[in-house]
Amino acid sequence: MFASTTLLLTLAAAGQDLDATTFEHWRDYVVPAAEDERWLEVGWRATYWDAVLEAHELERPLLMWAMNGHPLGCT
Amino acid sequence: MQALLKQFVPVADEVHRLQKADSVEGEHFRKIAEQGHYGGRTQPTDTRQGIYAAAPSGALLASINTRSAERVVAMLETALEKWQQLEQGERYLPQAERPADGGWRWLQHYPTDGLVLRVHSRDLPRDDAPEDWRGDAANRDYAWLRAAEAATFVPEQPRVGATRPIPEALARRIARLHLVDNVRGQTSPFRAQDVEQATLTSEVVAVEGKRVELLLTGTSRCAQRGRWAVNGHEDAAKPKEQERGIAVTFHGRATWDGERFSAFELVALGERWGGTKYNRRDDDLAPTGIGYALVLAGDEQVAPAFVWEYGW
Repeated sequence: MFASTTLLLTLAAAGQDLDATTFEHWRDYVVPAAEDERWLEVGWRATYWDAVLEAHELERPLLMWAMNGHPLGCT
Repeated sequence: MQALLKQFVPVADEVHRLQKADSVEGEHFRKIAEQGHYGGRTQPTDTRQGIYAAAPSGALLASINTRSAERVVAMLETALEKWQQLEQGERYLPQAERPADGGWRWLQHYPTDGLVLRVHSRDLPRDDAPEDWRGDAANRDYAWLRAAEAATFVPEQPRVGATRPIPEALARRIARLHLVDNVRGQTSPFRAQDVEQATLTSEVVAVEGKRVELLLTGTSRCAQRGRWAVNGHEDAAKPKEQERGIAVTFHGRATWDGERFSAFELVALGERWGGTKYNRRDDDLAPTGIGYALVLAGDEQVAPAFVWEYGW
């Protein structure tokens, strides 16, 4: 209880209340705007082997973006 | 860049699993990676992360690990030149070496009939935000809930005013695996013993036939203390006493259509403090604001970052 009360006081002091009146503001603040998501327009496939098979089918080279943490998720 | 990309089949995937997987796709990726920019490397890590252009056969065309768009364009152009020089027999695997199933993946646990959420994270506005990329950094993850877990958000007697706390195990899973400080980079999940508080309660605010409108509220707090590095490889050999944590309040709304959620929006707002080896907080350890938004995902199927901790 103490932790949550302290947190609420901290957020309120910083002008960062979260309630029914501010909910949409903060949702829109955190969720990326369409402009920030343009990298998704590349059409990244999310599964390596499926893309290897598709590359054979389409007779195209493969472009692999490999990261620690899925690049389309958390990295 | 876009025109160049259209000449490839682009794929993004998690590299650690591919480096270790005892499977057809693991072997295929390693064949490419060992020809690339980190081939054979073991220090400071054995990661093979980066961008690879390759023939479907596994013949490397070019590779790089950079944030520079110009350098990626140059790499793609080099790759396409090499592609044109390859004989047909060098481009493709024999049919017998192309099984439909590349091997076991976490996606085999994808909860088709459950609830799949995108989890966005971002720093809250601050006066001392860095002027470089860290100033507007953001990240995303996915949270998976099985159908039975999703249903626990709905009170058993869905009358206006009825409330139901979601099961403690689910609230703790969300807190320790999804409310982490990944805004600037990869981090670690909290351990079970780090969860100090995790409550999430739904309240029915409207009912129309099978359709139930829910208000979601709650709080969570995770904190971990110990010795670890917070600056990548710079202090890896000299870990110091550290504390890191996340404390948030929740507010959200959701619509249950009788079988599944047709809308789900949950915001978590609060503080983060401390850092981990790769999350780029080494000069930003004091408490600052952080926000999360958990919203319905589309049809993308990407496993949660810490899915192995789900116990599925």
